Amino acid sequence: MPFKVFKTFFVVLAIVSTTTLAFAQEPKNPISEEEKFNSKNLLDETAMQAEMDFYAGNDHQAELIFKGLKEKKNHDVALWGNQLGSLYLAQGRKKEALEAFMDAYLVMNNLTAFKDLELKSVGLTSSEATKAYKGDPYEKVFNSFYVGMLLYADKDFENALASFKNGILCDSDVGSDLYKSDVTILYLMASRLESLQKNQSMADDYFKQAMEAFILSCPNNRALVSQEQSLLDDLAKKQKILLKKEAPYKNENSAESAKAKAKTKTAKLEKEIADLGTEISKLETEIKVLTDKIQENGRKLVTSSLRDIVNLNNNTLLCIETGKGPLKYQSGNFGEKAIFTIKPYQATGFSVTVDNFTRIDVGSFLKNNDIYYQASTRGGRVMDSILKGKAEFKQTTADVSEVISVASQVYDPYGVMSLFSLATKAVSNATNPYADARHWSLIPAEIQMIPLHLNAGTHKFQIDSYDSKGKLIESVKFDLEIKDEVSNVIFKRFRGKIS
Amino acid sequence: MLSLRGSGERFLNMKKLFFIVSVFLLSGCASVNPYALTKTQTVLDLSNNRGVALFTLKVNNPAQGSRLSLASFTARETNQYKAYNTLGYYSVPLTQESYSVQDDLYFCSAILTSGIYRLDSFNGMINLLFGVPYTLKMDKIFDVYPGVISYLGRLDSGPLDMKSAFMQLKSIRDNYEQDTVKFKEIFPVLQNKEIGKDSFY
Repeated sequence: MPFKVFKTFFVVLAIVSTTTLAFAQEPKNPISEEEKFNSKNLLDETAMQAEMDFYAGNDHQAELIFKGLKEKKNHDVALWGNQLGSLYLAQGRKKEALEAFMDAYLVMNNLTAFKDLELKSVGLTSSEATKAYKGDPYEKVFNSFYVGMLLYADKDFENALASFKNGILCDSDVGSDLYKSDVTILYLMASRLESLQKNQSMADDYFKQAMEAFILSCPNNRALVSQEQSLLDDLAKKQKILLKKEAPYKNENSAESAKAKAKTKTAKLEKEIADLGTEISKLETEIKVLTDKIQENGRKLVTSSLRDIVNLNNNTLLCIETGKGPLKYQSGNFGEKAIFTIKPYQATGFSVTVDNFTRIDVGSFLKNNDIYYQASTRGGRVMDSILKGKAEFKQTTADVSEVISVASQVYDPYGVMSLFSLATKAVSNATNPYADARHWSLIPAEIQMIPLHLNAGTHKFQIDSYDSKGKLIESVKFDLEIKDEVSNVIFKRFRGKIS
Repeated sequence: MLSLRGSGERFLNMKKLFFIVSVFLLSGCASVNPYALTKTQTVLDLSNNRGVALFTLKVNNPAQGSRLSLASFTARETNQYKAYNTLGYYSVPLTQESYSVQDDLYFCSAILTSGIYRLDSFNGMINLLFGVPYTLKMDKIFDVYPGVISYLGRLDSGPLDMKSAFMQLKSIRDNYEQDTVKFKEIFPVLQNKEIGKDSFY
């Protein structure tokens, strides 16, 4: 009897599967492209596909996805704007790029936009990613840079200058003093625009700050700057402790001072204050040595490229974007830490040939505008300590639940402890400490800028890219019309394709 | 007699039933892991935005004594657009054919949907008989592009340290020429296929 049942079941199964296969056909009306990439049908996670499509050179699909996502106008609208802006710029569509970057700019620099979501995200059970994307300081800096460059190319000099100034302001929003305002390219553009508007003293000021930023961010000085920054942090801490210890004895009028005077300084306290003083003066000497070394390295730098950028005789600025920008991802036991890494990019050196005879080599390029350096020196955020607290809470509640669960197995006749263990576990599971890893991933790894003096008319360009050993990787040729004006801007992207 | 014949038939029927059910149940065990290349594979389907990442792992087993035998590697999805607790976690098996005794090298492949992944670790045993679990920690990021097969490099953890339960990655070298020839030898499906060069980071 059971065999008969099974036999019938398998016969029916065989018939059903063969008939299904026989009648299976390609759907007659496959989903149209318009429907597939409609904002209503697109999930946010599809953006990863668009990202990989962009780096693999499938721009069409990448554009459809990012465009569809941007149309949702949700809390990630600035992120989609930046991604789309980079994509358009890589295709040479400057007008569309400006629109996309500008949309992002308006959200990224608006403190009140999506404010209600920001308050929600600090809750124990809410994720940081629920708040609106407004970008890290480095993302705000480069968004302002692109908006500024594209407005400048559009001859909207006043707004371009405002945008570069905004970028400079965003760069000062990082934790550590030495990493504040070290994006040379922004100061140079501000200086150039002030010159254009005949504000020479302001132009000189910006140029001076550009030189300082250039010295601080040059690769030879990066280790020294990092060392100096940690000494400065240490110094600030020690000075604060010293101030606290000495405060009761310095302030003549306070009640605390009167009490302290009554007691008089103990020998132990005096020794502590003296030791702190010695440590502070030692730190100050070490900082002075490092500052001198940084300045000495700075004097060896070739700065002609900086002067060439602010020189208004150069009517064309060629911006070469290379590599894939920094990747931000979650780490730690509960994904509570967001860390940056960078993919090595092959094309690091370039040469430009104009009209088959003028060849410009490495020395004339403004380099070191690498975005990873800016991303990784942003310092800690307030949100990092909130996430750390959430992760600790999640771990503690999980541990408590485990202990109660074990104890309940030994003695818990009424199951009360088990219920309590279950409730603690539920709280642990509901705690959401995951860091927000959203970032502008289509941004290049580095922007190199070269100023050119070209006559009006159509020119033939050839850009050759080389690896660090000088081996030719890629050669790009294109024709471009240079207008009889001071603000010609060319963007060319090398995406670091798989060789 | 009749009852005996009846019970014999029933026994035969039960045997048939047992055979059919076992084939049905064991079919899962014999199925091919969709994330790794195999020697017998004749078709490589890279539709639906899938791509292949190839890399090798040098295991410096001592000449004599205990040896490390690896069973699998794990890769974690890294997707900024997805919630952290929904990210994919893949365990890709290392088959016998992917190990070259001659070079003490593992030829690893991962067929994944295009995206960014983190190579977490290689897992295996020291002493197959009384196995002691062992982990080679990697923590390296790699990209998978749609429809693209890419070689990422040769991972090396240095000489095997039996005293600890895990080892960290020491270096990554580019052995593109040598490794891609061997990959094509081991996995015939890769022959006549273009293998690009990419890198871990």
